[in-house]
Amino acid sequence: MKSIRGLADRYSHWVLLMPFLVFFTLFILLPVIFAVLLSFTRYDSIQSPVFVGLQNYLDIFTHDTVFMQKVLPNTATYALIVGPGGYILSFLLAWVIAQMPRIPRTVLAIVLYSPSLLGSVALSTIWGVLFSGDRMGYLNNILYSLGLINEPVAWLTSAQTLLPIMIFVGLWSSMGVGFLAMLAGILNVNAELYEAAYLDGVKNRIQEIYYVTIPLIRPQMLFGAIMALVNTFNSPGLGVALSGSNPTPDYAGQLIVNHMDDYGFLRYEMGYAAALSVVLLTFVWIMSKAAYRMFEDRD
Amino acid sequence: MFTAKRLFIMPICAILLACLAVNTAAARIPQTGNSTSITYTLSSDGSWLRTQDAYLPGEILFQDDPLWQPEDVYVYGNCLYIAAAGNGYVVAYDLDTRKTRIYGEGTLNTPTGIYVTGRQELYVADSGFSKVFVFDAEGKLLSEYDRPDEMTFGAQAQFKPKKLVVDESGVMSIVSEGSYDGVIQLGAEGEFLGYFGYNSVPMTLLELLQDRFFTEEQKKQLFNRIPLTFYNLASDPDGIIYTITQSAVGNAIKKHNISGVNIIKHQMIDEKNFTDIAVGPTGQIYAVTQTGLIFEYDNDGNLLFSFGGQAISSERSGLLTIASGIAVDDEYNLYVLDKERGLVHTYVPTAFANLAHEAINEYRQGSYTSSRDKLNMLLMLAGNARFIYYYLGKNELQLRNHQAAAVFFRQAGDRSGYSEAFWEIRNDVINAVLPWMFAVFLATVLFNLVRRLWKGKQAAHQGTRFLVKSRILSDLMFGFNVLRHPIDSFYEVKTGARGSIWSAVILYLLAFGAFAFDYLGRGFAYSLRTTENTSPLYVILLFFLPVALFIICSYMVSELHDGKGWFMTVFIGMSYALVPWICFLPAVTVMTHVLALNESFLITFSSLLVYAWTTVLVILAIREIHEYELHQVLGNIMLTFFMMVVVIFAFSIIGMFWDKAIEIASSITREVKYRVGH
Repeated sequence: MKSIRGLADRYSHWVLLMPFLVFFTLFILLPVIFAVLLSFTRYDSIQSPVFVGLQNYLDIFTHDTVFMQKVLPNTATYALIVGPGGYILSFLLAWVIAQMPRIPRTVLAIVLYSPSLLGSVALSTIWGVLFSGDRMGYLNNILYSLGLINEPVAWLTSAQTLLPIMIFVGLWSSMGVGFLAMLAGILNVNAELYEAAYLDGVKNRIQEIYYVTIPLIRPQMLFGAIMALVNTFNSPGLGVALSGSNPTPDYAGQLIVNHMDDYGFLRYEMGYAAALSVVLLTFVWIMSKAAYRMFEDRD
Repeated sequence: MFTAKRLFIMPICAILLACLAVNTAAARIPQTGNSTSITYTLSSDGSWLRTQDAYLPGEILFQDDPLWQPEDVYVYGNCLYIAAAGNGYVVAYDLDTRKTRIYGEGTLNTPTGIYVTGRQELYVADSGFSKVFVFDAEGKLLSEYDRPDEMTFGAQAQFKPKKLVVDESGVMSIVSEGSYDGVIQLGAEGEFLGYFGYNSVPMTLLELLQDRFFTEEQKKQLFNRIPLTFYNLASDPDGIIYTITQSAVGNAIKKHNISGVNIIKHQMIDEKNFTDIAVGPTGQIYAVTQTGLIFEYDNDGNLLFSFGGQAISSERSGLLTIASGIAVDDEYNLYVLDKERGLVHTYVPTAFANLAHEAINEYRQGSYTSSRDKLNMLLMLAGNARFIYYYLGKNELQLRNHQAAAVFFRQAGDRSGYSEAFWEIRNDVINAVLPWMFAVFLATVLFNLVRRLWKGKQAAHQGTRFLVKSRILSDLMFGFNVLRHPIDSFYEVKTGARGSIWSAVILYLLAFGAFAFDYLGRGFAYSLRTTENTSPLYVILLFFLPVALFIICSYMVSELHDGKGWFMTVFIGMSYALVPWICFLPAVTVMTHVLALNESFLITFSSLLVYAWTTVLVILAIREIHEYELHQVLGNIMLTFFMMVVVIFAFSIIGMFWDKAIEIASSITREVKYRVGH
């Protein structure tokens, strides 16, 4: 009896952890493991997978010119601007909103948060009107009336303009969960701390942000950074939704996720797509490591 | 080995070409003697290069019976059609039988433009009658088209057809005098289809603002801003329309796609006074200026040859008085109208020009190897010509000889082509190295794992601090401190605890080194500047002049605005502000050697980062050293820039005065000497 009790004492936490562990294994761990395993095979979803070793990875970095010439530079451009840019934007907006009284704050928070809730389809309908390639598109119409262009610019289907527009829309919709977390964090900072800081010689709002706000909401900032990273690398097919085609015109808006889509669900080269997803996973992992290094609590 | 082979091939080529030249000359137009003008092409650095004769002057037609003010010429089969505007008819001259035939005598007034369709119908634009006439092969008048009366044509629009081309379905594209809206297109029934193509009015910022804010009455008082009109046009066998616009330097020639947009995007080497344009059998573009210069371009508007010229005091075959029209037949013979003398000068392509045409044509058709061989032959004949290198590069790229392609593109000054070839070379290197990198990566991971298992968790790594004895070295090392804790560091500089004049001088020199390396040492894909084509003094001035001016002006402005810093501290502080520049700009420059143009974003982004960081440090330095608030810093910087402009202005005025003073002094001394001498 006693031994059973002792056993229960020693292992009961496993029982309590069980629900989480089961679901985590089923829905996250296993798919990742399967993806990694799949990435070592050639698999077209009809015949059974054939083991090919590292061939898929070698192909990605040596034979896939589209990946090296378009997808990788595009992803780097998009991630470098939308990641930090969206992150800074959401921090600044969260800070500005936090200064407001309750009701406008709530309303504005919802307004700013809503773009990230919309799916890419909704995005493309909204922005499709603005950037429409005919004379009736808002932007074209405005440029016409200003006399800046002579013929309509096909904003969404031209290789020169698609990526900048994607970046713009990406920034616009970057006020996501990270933004909400930071807003909550800023609102939670004890007002007395600011007063104390002013007594200690803080002179303006910028110093206030730098010396009080940021150190106090560091955990939320870390969360926001990770979310921003994951979102930018995984942004689900913004370019495809805007231009209406996969691959995007001249691969101008092709990000890694679109490339995966292209190989996985248009060409049915599942093994290759899985290898791409592992590459993407590695990127995100390295980046989030870097984010941890930047924001971790050193004290 | 290569040169020896060249020396051997040279004479053979020359003989071969000489034989070829005789053969082609016998074909249609007898060639008469030597060239009367020099043929130029572009050399690899973009300057004019004298090269082999591309065309030799041939027979002069209508010498016995000159035409009166001929305006346009067109070749169809072996028949030369000439719009003799002064005579009031069109002449058809059979090049084989040498017989002439006259169209539209009595019907036409001043025919200025002609076109012959595949059904041998002759279209004539008559600017005297303001009509378009159509004749059949026998000279019978088939139809005539008047000013279209559709609303869309425009109530005020004039219809004075000058030149025209007609496509297979009978759609006429007409250049009408004084028509700013573009080329007029009429359907086969004479109905107005629309305007095609356009010239835009380049607007200055001032004009844009005027457009926004002026009232209608104010606008009326301004000059009318109207676009340049098209002067002439031509079409190629595929129906693509080419136009010329006078005085539009850089894009005088336009190649229009079906919606009228110019598809030659780059700036062309051209002239202000082109009068006519013709398209060769494989898409070469020929244009002639009023002064008789003939330009030949390839299909994409890259200059191949330029030759010909004006006959100033004497008549010579191949030199023109006033050129008004050019046509080319399917053997690349050129026919150029001399309006003043009423003659047709002919030009016969040499074997050299034919070789160039064949090489380019073979490239376009995909026979890369044979195109490359021909181009190599051309290279021996023509020397350092840009177009040869350009096409050699393109051929080698297609043949996947990327190293050679990169070399040729470099010589042709083509950065995008070079970048493409470079990407392939880099890809090969990556392919070769990747397995090793993989192995090394795995090995390190394994090694770390084993070490960790073996030793367990080690104590945290203790940073070792170097104790630097020498003051100047420690001052230089302090630069790294600036990167991490800028505000504290500038405070230390201000108190005089850190930095000395010598450390600052060294930092400025290092910054100059970084600047010069970036300015001159970028990879070819990112910059055409090399140490050969840039003067060192220019680079030195480009860096030190603004930097010195900024420091001095900033200090002077701060003196007036109760800044607390000494000149020495400003000098030292600014040198520390340049530390990110010194540390990271060279890295960016090195990156330009590794990255191709499609990754250029990384270059712009990282250099932007370096500049932004440096700017922030400059702002912080001013703030700390003078104990300023932020708005005072910004005010200081604004005033500094203003003062820099004033100083530059003042110095240039003094410089001009000085020049004048010297000039006056020297002329007085000359005068005195002259008087004394007499």
